[in-house]
Amino acid sequence: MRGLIRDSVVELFDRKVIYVFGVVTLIAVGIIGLLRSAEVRLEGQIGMDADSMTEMFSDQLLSGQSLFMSILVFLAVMAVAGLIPNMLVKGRADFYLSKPISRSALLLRKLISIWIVYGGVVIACGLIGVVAFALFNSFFSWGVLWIFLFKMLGLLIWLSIVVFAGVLSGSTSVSIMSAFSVYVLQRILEWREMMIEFLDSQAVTFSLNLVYYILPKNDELSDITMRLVEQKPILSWMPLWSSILFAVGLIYITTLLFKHRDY
Amino acid sequence: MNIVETHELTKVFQPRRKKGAVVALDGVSLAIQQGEIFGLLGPNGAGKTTFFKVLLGITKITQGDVLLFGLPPDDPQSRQKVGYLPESHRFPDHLTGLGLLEFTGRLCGMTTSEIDARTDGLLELVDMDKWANVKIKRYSKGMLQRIGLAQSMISDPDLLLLDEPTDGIDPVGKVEIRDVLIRIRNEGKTIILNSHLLSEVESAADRVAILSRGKVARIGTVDELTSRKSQFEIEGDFASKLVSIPEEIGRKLSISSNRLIVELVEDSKINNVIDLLRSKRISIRAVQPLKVSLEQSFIETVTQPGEKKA
Repeated sequence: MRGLIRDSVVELFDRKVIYVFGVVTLIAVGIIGLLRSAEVRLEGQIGMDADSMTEMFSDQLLSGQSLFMSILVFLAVMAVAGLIPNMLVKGRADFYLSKPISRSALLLRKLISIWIVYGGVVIACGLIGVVAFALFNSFFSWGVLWIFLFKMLGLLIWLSIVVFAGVLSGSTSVSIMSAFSVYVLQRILEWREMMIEFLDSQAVTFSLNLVYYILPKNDELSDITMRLVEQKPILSWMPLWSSILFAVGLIYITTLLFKHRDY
Repeated sequence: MNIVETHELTKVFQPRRKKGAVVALDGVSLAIQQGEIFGLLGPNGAGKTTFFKVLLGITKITQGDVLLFGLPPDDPQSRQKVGYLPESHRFPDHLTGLGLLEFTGRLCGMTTSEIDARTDGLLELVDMDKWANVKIKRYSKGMLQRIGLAQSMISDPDLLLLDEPTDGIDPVGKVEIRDVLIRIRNEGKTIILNSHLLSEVESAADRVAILSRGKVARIGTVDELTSRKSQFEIEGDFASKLVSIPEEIGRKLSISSNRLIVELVEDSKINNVIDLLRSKRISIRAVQPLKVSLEQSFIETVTQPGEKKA
């Protein structure tokens, strides 16, 4: 495990992916700074003090933090999409598979090491954002911990998709396209109830519901996160457990697939 | 003790479109013993690399049995004492040479101190100590082979599977690698050497199997493979002497003033020939089984009757 984690770190730097995270974080810090100067101007115009302003916009600041971390997760998914196909190219797969480690253990360890390393980068960049918010706006909420926790879960869900597509196809492009397709499907399914009502067909209702319950629900997970942050009651935990089930199920299928493949 | 045992090993690659299944290995039965260098020869597509992949569980078996250290390839423990240098390898190129050795050691379950104890010696052995901290992506083909050989030996394996180990290496390097292999063999390790270079196999291997179209066409020591069955070369003074070999002993293949080549009904009949020549007062200087080069033997084995020789 240590070897794979170290390998993922070296790969992260070698592929210069870390610099992209750095640039995006710098831009985010810049935006946080600009927001502060806008706030100061607003204070002057409406005559409110800084603390009242921050309190008034606290939800927006936390949503901003959540959005920033979603962008980081998106970057991480794009960055890792090629790692598994890259590991399974002819000549390299032989290197990995000839070692005294079972295929399932190899795949799971690789997945966990990617999650730890890239998740670590997301958290580190997110922390810079939190510090920037705290410095510029004198604002801090322990609720950000929920954001960190749910973004790490989100990253694991997206990882399960790109790893599955990577093992199945051996192609980076297909991995990225699969993640994007799931994202688009999630967006389409937001209109599920309207479509069911409009089409009025049992088959369509069944199919849409089936796809909806199977697929992860990232938008609804964001809603749960914000409700936890704002200490509001959670309407349904279903999006959380069904998304976790999706990731676990897909990882299990991927290991089965990987176990029985010829390389 | 047999390190590797295969029985009626068959591997068929079934393409997705169901048509044109490729039989890569067809009933291969082999037993490879501890402490030998075993050469695997064969033309392209004969199944040599597939044989390695099946041993290591990289490719699944269609039929038959494989045992590596007495364990089936599905058991990761079977690979615990195995080092492998794949053909056309693509090691993780973001690593340095030293990084590759450390990473391989970790994958083999070695501790940091165990890895540290092995790396310096191995880098020196393959003459890569000066390049240890350079990224693999900057290595030449020969350097890649050398570091590949080192990674295959990091866990001090009892069995080395080397697929074209001297590919891309200069002649001096080839000799060095051959000496390294012999040294490893002398330490009691087993090496299976898959190579196109017949001279390399001829000079290093204790036993050789020639694979052709997925089958073991011939197997034996280099001496056995290069000896013509019941053919002998006799050196002597045959000038102006009439020599005829009785049918029940064999037949004369060629004769010159100082060399007679005979093919006998069985090896022991050579004594009869010697008696016959001596009775004719022919002075004999040497008698030896007729040898061909391994290359000649290989070409004869893999070329089917009616086919053009390579």
